[in-house]
Amino acid sequence: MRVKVTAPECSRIPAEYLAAERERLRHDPPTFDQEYMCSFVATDPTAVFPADALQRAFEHRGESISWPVRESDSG
Amino acid sequence: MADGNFVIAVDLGMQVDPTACAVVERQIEIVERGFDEPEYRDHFVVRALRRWALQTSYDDVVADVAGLVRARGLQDAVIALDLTGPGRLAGRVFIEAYLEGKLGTRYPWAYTITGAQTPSSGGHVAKRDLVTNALVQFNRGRVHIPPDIPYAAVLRDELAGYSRRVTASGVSIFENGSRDAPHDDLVFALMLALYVKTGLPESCRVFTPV
Repeated sequence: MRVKVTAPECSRIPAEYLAAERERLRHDPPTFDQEYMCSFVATDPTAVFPADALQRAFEHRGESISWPVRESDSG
Repeated sequence: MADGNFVIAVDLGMQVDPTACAVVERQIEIVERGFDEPEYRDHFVVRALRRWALQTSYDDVVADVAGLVRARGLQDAVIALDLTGPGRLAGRVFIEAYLEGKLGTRYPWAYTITGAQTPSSGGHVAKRDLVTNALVQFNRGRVHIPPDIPYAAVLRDELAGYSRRVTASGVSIFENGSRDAPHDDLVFALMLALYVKTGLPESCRVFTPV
């Protein structure tokens, strides 16, 4: 039998504490997940690009450039 | 014509590796330093990504890139080609298109990625230098990728799976070990775009965090 209880599901851990921890680790979500969410997705030690750096890079909300449809594609 | 400093980096594939492209705009953050000269910090904003189906002809790839240049006003963009896989002759289709006036104002720049231990020189770029430059930019928070643009999720999987192992003789081997993203073509297109920094800061738009 397997039992999984995450920190938010434990009544003895205040929600305020978890919110503060989430804020403290906002640039390192995998560590928060590892410490409090039973999610062990720790960074692969062989990975070239650190997970937190990737997380930060993909937070951008800037404009994009769309590829035009080629005339031969549009039929 | 679009304002800004753009690189269109194309990693040309062959039978087993798709061709991929990253369109990256270099922007400048100006950090005031009192009475000293301000510091100019490069930022690299990914504006478009694309991966073509396996065995798409180079002529079709060129036609798509030419269409992008024409339709989006990217005539002054640098077109950087990674010819490592197919060899330098594959760049001819781009050069022919340039000579026909289809690829903007700049002669395409051709690169070959060499072994990690070989020094970079001209159009030959050591893989180690390419990777290290990209890593520095990521660690400094200078690379910005909108997560909702096409192929962003694929690129993220490729980046997360891109790994380095060291052989018993001390040689670094870079490879993509992810089963979810077995290719690394988008990573290479992006890394080349980050490597090919060109132009003066004045040619760049000011970076605005969003």
